[in-house]
Amino acid sequence: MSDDEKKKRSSTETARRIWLAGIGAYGRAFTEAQGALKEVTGKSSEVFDDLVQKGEMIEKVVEHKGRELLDKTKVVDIEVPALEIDERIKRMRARLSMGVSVGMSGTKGEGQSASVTERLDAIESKIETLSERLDALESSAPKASPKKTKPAKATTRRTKKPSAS
Amino acid sequence: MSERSKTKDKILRTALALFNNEGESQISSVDIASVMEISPGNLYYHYKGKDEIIVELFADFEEEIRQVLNSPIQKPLAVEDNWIYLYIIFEEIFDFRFFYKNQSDIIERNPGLRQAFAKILALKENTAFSLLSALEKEGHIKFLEGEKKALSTRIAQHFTFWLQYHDLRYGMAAPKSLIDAGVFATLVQITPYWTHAEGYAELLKDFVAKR
Repeated sequence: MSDDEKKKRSSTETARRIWLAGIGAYGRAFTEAQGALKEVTGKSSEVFDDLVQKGEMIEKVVEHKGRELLDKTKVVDIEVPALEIDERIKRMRARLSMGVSVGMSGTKGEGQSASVTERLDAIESKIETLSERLDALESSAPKASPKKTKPAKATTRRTKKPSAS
Repeated sequence: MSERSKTKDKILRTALALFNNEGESQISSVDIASVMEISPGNLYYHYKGKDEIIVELFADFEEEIRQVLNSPIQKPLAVEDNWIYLYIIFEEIFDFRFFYKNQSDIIERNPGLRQAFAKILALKENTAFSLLSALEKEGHIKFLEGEKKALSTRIAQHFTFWLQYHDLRYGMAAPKSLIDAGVFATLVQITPYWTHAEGYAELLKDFVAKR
């Protein structure tokens, strides 16, 4: 390749060729490529071009495979009416502006971010668990129990979409 | 989705709350039955073990997160809806946090979930790419060749490992306010590409003011 030809290449094209050569190098044993480069002093450009060519081929295969995977993903995607996300955005915006539930109330730090309702639920649940344990102790009847401390009752909720069907 | 019995529904809701709050590895199916005040045999009638419950919880999560992630691909969001939308994604993940905190273990035990989760990851990348494309099309952000794809992957990684990182870094359960930090960290990744300095400042001011 002449110097003029080299100069004509834009920096982007050069970067692309280096990238492609890198991909091409994966196609052969690393030591083989290294050995070849040492042996063919003066012909390094040919080796480079060879790697570029390989890289281009691999790139095409990868692109094709990538598209295939993407298509597969798209096939199983669920069609959703556009309104649904709009509605959720509206609801989330309202919650955020009220400082509810996602730690937007100005209070910060561990345990301070949940809404009042959620925190009350958690406290209520703990009281319930403690009462149960107290009852069990008072009755002092040996009772088969799970191997660990009985966990608190479920208090969290899932954000459900408006139409759950 | 097929109609579920009330008991099955209650088992799933209880299991999800217990896994999320106590840690999935700490909860057995006997614990779930105990909290529900039903016999382990009754629970076994509906689900043959904890992993069967996890698989069904995953199916619910998959359906919901797909709907959320697909929306901006099908129809671009208004610019001002972007960060609200991020809240929705982070909240979905937070509500299924037991899985995200222990994803490798759960997938190893349930190999059937691997492909489904890989598809969700691919969809996350596509969603991030669509969000960035919409912002780029309107001239809000600008990329050099290859940057948009790389940033999409980076954002998908952030969605996926944000909770796990917090646990590893701080060794404690993630508070829900971590959602704020997650959304903010996403925006911070996008803002270097913002074309108008003022627009960026306005965006952040609006965001930070509400924190």
